[in-house]
Amino acid sequence: MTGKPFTLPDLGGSDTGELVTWLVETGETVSEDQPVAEVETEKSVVEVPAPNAGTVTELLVEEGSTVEVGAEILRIEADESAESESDDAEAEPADDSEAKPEPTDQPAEEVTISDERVFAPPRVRRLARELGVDITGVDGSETGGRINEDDVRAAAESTDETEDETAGPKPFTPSGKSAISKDGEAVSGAGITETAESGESGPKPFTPSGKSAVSKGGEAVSGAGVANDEEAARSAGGVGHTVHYDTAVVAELTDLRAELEPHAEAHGVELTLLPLFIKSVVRTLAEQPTLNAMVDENGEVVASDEYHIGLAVATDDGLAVPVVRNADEKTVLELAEEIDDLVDRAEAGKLTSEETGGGTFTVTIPGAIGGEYATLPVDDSQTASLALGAVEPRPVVSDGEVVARETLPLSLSVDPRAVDATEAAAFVEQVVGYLESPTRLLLTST
Amino acid sequence: MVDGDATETELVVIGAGPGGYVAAIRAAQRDIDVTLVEKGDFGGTCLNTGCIPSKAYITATDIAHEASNAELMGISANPEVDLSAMNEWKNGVVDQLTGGVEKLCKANGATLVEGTARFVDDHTVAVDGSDDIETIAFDNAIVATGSRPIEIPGFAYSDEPVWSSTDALAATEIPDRLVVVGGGYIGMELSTVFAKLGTQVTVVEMLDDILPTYGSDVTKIIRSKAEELGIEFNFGEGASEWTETDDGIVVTSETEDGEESTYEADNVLVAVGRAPVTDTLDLGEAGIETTDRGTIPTDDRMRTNVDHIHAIGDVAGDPMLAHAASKEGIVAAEVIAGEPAAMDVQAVPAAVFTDPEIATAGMTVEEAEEAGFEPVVGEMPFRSSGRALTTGHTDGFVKIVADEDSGFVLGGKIVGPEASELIAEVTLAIELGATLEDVASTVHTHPTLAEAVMEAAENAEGQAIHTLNR
Repeated sequence: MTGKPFTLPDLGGSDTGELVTWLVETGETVSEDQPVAEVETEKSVVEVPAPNAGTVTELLVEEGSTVEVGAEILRIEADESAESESDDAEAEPADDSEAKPEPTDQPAEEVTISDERVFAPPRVRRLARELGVDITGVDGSETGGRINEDDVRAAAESTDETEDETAGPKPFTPSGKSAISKDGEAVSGAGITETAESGESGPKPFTPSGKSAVSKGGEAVSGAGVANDEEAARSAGGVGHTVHYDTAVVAELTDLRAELEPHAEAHGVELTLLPLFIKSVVRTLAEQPTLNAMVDENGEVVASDEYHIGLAVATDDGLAVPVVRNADEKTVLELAEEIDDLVDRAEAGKLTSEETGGGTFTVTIPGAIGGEYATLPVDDSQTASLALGAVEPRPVVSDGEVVARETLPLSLSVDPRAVDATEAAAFVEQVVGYLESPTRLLLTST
Repeated sequence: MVDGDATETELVVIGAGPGGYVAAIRAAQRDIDVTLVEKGDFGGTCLNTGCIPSKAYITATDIAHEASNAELMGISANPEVDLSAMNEWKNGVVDQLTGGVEKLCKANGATLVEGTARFVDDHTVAVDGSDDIETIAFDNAIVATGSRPIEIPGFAYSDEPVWSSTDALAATEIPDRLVVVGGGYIGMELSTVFAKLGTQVTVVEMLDDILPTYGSDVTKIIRSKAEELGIEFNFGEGASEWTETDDGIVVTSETEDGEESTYEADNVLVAVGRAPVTDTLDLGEAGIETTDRGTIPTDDRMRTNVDHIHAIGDVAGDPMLAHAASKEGIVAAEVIAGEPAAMDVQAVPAAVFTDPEIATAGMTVEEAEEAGFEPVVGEMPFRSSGRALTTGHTDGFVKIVADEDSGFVLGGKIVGPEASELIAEVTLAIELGATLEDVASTVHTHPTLAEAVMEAAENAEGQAIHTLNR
């Protein structure tokens, strides 16, 4: 074997990038996700991680050359275990339209197939096997109890929640904090991908490296200087930003939603997770005013005492951003109703101009930009923007075992002139804390 | 123990029948380095001496039989059958298929090795070829050696007049008289073939009916048609011996009470079942366990008690069906590739190519009750089907079993023309968790036999148009 060719992965919207530096050489043994190269795109410098463990057999691109996404850049001879893992990944059915750069590294625990008659089509039964769910124990939501994909995912999640009772070691999540901790524990800066010299591997397919604190705006600057490096930000022709990623395990939140759903229904309101996300965000904004603010002409950070939350919604004509006004003053029911209406009309292209301006903070709703992490521009009139990925089962380590859990990827982009990296991390930590332990929202008012 | 000359492979598949060759191809598709060992012809029993040649004979003899029995349609004919020529044509079909399978395996990148494999240890097989012995070291193995016809005491297949199903399908002369020992599906299919060729067929069966497990609603139709063809049934008798006479042979049978009967014949076909082929494998060297029947027990991932060695198809036990073997082969290959595959199906259909055909899938009414359902049955007789009338074959029915509450289709039983084809729709409904309404609301082409499936679903709902509702 001469090694499997490895192609340049999607760089988050850029078709090409300049391969700045090789971080490995021929003959070197690499572990899965170990950065192998730095590639600079229009937006940032990113580290490309190895797809699997193995030995680098050939570097196919010279430093300094421009590479297209999908072009072969090196060959890695996989070691045996890695090879079977990559076979796993290839066999994953493309059952989601969202990009899923997150291959399942570890197969779920094997479930024994029962002889019992199950009313679920083969694709659903396959999903159950993939997620390690015993389908005979799944409550089907369709007529007669027929089981669909959502039912299996929900079952996977509730199983995870039971396992949540005991906190396990750290999962894959990019932050330094355990994704399964439920207590919103104190912030650790290790999760800040840009500024911390953290050895943690970040979200796949690439990790914004420690050198790319500022989105493409000329030379990369070191993380330490980011927060005040207004010039660097400006030279990009707009507001530059730093990004912080984290992942919340949302089992409790989905349970809470399920519990509230019939009550909301009694009010004629269909309750999704979104109003609960917004509630958590607004509460955290109240605690950290610099993220609900703008930078004025003098470079002063001016916090707003109103909470107008823009919702970035994907439409046929691109992103639309209707604004939920005074979100802090609204109940979950009111938020649910209003969000539902705004999102519907946004998708239908029927928003009025009053409904789209004046936001103090922006949340990109799940599914609007891919299913995982995203780097978003921050509006000139705001200081931060939060992108929510898709709530999906993802591998999480609990008690030393990899299990599937419903998780929500969060990506916070901030204007470094107003919000420094530590503040960004603290904000995300706090939002994650509320999402993982939503009953905490009861303790204080907004 | 691997000597220095061992060939290394990630996966060795032993046996290139419908289980083994499918497993090898799927494994190759997953970039697994696979070696496929076969001692005889590619395609196994199914292609060489089972499904395919028997269906070739059934079709050919049907043509002869129908042509000579179509006076009602205004056709008078007296076709002359040259069994030797029919055999040649059948061999051509078999050659084309087995050649195709071999090419497919090669084209997918499987390494083919000729010879008989035996385990040396749990990571090595030795293949005894015609000239030499090749040692192959493997990471994973799939045992797919299939089965062979069971021999009963007193009837050695090595004796000329005694036929196994394999011999019957290679016959070049039509016997005048044939005793068939065993009224199972193989016995009944071949009895029908020879009866249609003009042979006087006598079936000797130890049980009190043909085709055990299919139910009397099915067997009475098959028996009555078989009797029309001149087949004679003798139940409650086991064949004990045969002797040569001046005029052929005499087969002696015995009842449980020791009462003897004798049947004059030219040949005796023994079709009392099939036994797994494990005797050449040295399974013990790899630590692989077998059951009392000699089959290799497996889990739902087709793993034997030795995790990295799988067993599929007839050698792994019931159901001994080619399509089950193929599915098991796919599962084994995907499991070896690290995928979350499993033998996770709701129904493995079965078909018997008698006249008329029989096909079943899923649960019977009794099984549905046992499983806690409140079954409802819908039926459509083929005599009410326009298309069945135009084929001249109106015996039989479509029965569909469903859960009354939910309407979920649980099973189906079809007797009649093309039953083997029609069962596919019922099987799909079972796998998908479809309801009677789903089947009944699907527009079916007119005029077709498949409409009977729709009508049976409608009948279960009390909505059938072309048959009175229950």
